[in-house]
Amino acid sequence: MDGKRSVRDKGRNVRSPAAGPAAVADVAALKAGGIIRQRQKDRYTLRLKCPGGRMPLERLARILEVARRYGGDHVHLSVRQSIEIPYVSLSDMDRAKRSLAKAGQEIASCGARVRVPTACAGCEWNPLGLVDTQRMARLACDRFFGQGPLPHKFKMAFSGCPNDCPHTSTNDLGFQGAVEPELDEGACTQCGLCVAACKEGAIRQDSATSTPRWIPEKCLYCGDCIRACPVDAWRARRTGWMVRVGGKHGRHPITGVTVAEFLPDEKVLETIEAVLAWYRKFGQGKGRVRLGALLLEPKAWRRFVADLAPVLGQWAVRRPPPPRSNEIYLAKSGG
Amino acid sequence: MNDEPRPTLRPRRLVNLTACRCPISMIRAKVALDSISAGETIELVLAEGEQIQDIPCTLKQEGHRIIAVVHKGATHRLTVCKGR
Repeated sequence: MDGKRSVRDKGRNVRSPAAGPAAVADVAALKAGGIIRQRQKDRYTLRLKCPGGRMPLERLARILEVARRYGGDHVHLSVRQSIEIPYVSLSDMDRAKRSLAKAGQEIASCGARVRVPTACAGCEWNPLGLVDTQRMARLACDRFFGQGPLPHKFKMAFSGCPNDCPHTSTNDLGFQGAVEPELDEGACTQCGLCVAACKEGAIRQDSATSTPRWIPEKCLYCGDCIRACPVDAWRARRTGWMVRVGGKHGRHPITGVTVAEFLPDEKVLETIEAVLAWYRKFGQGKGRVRLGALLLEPKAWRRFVADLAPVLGQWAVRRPPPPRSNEIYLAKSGG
Repeated sequence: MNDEPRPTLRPRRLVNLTACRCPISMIRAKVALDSISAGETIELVLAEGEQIQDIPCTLKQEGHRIIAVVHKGATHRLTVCKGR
């Protein structure tokens, strides 16, 4: 069986890719189903669907079994939290997929469609997490995964706090947890721990009364003050998602921007729906273009902000600046 | 709350963590708390920066109470009452 053959020489004997339009069409169809052609002739990588990087042990066990039987000597953890099984031959693909499906393990997708969302631990198990990123990534995946065709790929990320490990600003659409603090002055003992705990200098102690004063323009809404306060005088005024659009990495990176603040859970799916609808409509006829690239054009940006305003409602950021090009490969060095 | 241990008046120990680096400082704080009973207090001296930013909230999360704080220049002396 191919899967049991020695894998020492799989990196050698590189073949040229199959030529011709039929071959290209086949590869595209396979990619849509999460099957990616490798350098090696008749070898493909199977990309699995792992929203938020969460892998139940029963599925992990089945992945191990399938990889051993049909793949090479390792699996690969992709940058977007998926497990990939390389070195599967096309003739084994259906059997591999069926075996995985029996354990509830689905396949991801590639190409111009909605990709599997990424997410950090969030408040489920991270003490710094402010929102349930794992749950939201699962809901978003169930509802939107694989939708297409779109002008290009569409990537979403869910971050639990301003540390933003899933880097929402380099995703087409990102949601990052945030909490706005408020002080109950009656409960405050003026101990100053909040001032010391704040990494951003967003709390100062009043020189006359020693009462802490919040400086909102320096605040990242991380909740360090709330967690540090020994008497719970600092509390959450509101908790929700900062919404970022238009980011991408790749050859021509773009930094996404915040278009809504403290968006509640119940508005997240509606927001994704609206952004996808806008992208589908305004990207039509513009070729293979990411959302951020479309939004670099000022008229498009103004249109986007206006069209999303009814959905984002009171949580919309007023007059947000457009996404910013972040060319890192074309920057000229110089004296 | 009614079932919280009442703090003793005199702290049992003073533990200066300012020379420690993360994560040793938190480990030493925990070891110090392990050496006393619920309701007893210790004093922890923390440095500016990571220690004062992170240790108080970890203590609170683990059920201990910070009942007094004295800031002196670049150090902070916390009186901590051990929780249950």
